[in-house]
Amino acid sequence: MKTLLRLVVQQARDNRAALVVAPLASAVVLGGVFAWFPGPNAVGEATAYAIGALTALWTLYFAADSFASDGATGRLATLALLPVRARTLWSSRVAFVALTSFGQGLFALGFGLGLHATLGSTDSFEACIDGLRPMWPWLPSLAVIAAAAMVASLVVETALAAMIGSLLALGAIGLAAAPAVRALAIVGVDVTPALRNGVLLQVLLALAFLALGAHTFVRGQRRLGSRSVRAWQATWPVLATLTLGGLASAAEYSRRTAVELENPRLRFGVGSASEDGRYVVVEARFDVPGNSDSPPSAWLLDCETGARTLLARAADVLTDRYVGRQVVWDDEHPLRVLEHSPLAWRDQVALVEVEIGSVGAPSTRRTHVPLDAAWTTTTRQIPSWAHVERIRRRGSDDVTVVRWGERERRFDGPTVWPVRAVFPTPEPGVLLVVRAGELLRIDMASDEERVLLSGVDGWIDPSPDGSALLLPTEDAQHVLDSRSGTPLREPFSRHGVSVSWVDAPDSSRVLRLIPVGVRGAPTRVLDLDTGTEFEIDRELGQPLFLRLCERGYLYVRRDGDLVLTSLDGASERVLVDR
Amino acid sequence: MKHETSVISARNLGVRFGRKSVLDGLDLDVPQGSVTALVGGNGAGKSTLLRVLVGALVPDSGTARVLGLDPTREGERLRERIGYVADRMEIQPRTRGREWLEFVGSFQRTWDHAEAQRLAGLLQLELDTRFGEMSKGTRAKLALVAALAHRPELLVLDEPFSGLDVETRLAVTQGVLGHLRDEGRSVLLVSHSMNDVERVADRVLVLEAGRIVRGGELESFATSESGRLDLEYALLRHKLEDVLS
Repeated sequence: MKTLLRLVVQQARDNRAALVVAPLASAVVLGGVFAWFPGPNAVGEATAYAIGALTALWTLYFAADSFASDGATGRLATLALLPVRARTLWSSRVAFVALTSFGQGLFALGFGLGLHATLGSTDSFEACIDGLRPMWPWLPSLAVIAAAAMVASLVVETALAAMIGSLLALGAIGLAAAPAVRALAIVGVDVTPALRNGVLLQVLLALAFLALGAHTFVRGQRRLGSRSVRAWQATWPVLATLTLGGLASAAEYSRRTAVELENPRLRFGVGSASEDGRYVVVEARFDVPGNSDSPPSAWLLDCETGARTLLARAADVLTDRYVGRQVVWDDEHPLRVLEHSPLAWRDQVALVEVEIGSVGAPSTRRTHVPLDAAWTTTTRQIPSWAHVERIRRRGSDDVTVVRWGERERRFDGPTVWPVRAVFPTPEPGVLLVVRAGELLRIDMASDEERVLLSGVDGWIDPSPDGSALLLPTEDAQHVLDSRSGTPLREPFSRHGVSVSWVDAPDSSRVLRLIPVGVRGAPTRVLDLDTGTEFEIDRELGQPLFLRLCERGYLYVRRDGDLVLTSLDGASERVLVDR
Repeated sequence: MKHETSVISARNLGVRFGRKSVLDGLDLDVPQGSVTALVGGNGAGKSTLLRVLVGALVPDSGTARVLGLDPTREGERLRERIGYVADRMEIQPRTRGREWLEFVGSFQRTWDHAEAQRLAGLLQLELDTRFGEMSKGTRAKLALVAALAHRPELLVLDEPFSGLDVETRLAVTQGVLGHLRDEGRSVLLVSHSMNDVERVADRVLVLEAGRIVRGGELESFATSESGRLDLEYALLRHKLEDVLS
């Protein structure tokens, strides 16, 4: 033990310059992040990512340099002549890398949190803690990185080569894993449960690399070079590490982050409004190229005061399973938001339930549920008389099964929401079905089928409360009453205008009309019940468009601001100035 | 060639680096109390052989016993009993000579600080100089002190006189190696200097292409025409290759 300690101390003495420069560089990076990022959530989360990235990078650097430059200069050969076992020499390097990694990580953590505790706000401190929490399960990956870099350091002569080599090796293992798992599955060996245990897998991988390194080192089969390392050779691996790591972490940051709503690059997605239209829960994704598959964050917005609360950083706002639109969200039914780990899919997710209380702002309740169960969290049945089950079939159309008491009907057709081939009307036992280009009214009580419309060229798109529906034919878009199938107004030309419903928490039936083929044309809003029609200057790339009862329409204006326009379009209020 | 009191005994040693065979079935015996010079051209395998004998390199084949120990399995114990000066020594440039000796001494149970001081004085070694500021000769002196201060039973030297001035050469050959020989300790050294070999060695081994091609008492080389030619050829070849490289 004393021998090991002496070697570690000597190693620290030899690396004293790097051991001083590393925390200074970390402090500069964290200080830069703190100064540059706006808003408490953005800066808190960015700090968390910076802490994680810096810890990983310094681990990689010190591990990659554990043997490479000593081997190249001949220092390792000199040390190998001491009356010390090769295994002890190897262990001392492992211990040094572990202590250095721990120390650098601890410094970055302390410095980052210290900045927020002393100069930041409570919100930014908590955002930083929240950002760090999902990283804990990935802590063993530091051991994997270190072990791989140490092995690479044995066979190359510069730290940079070791860093690149180890990352390539780890990447290759990652690429090879998928076909290997599939091949094993073909022969009946399912290793998926083991893979799901990421911590165990990382520990095993790290141990495998360490064993490989120890064997290689103890065998002493390396050729010790004679090249001396110049100052620039020691400097540019550090610069390269910081540059590459910085780019990688910046890219990762831009992919998975919850920046403030004021950020002009945020894209607002699905939204759900409370029953009275005062509160809206909205998904917001950082809109940069290649970021379409990352989970958005979810925000609770008070449309009366403009106040907003971050509900989840990586979220899915659950839509109603039956209508495919926003859920009913009232005193009895909470809005449900799934919160994923921002770094990886996990079996367990947090289910955030937003409840409207009779007094004050909505309250949130957080429980952990299995992901599969969370996806199928039921909402309401519309209409209440029908139980609809959709069965997905590979290679052919899905099957929709509608049950009404003891009666059951099965239909082929797509189950893409919100459009569908089968629509249970508000009238008990009556279905509207698209089959073979015809819209049929089917009475489940008598099995009577009646053709309401021919030449149908698409699927049923119901209004938010299901009382009306849109149905396309070859040239026209029809607006029909879902009880009787009778037209509610003249059809729209499909060539002239694109028509869809404006989502709403109430029974309003409002259409948004977007001229086809006219760039920059305004969106028209048409209330079918009152006949009110006006134009708004809406940004078409922003899907969020809600009617908030009597409060008006919520959407993103072309200049990027999130605005609330009155029901007649006469007045407008900016909720989020971007 | 086998002696009953060999401090070094190797049989059929083989080392390959990739496709290149550096030691090729080498047999070797070094008698106790002798000063044995190992000579040969560049790439003959001299340094590799020494590294195998001190346990710094694992051979691909064959066996070796040094002071009765297996260098591969018992390298740690072996290096407590031997002193080894490699052809090149490298440590952190900022390290002072005194710090290095303290570090090395902390691993040696028989380390003698007074002996280290005495040797440093004999070799006129400035212990407060940083390694990066030392000349090649000063580095060789530091390596010698580090290899000798624990009073090893066997001293293994890889070109120890390289870079040393004439005065220091004399101090090493007469003051150090002569002293060791007088005490009955053994020395195995690699050298390319005819003068040094003649001055200190009592036995010579000629290594060529990974094998000992000739070996025996120095006198037998001196008295035999072919032996003298072999020795001069080996040393000359080493020098020529050095110049050409």
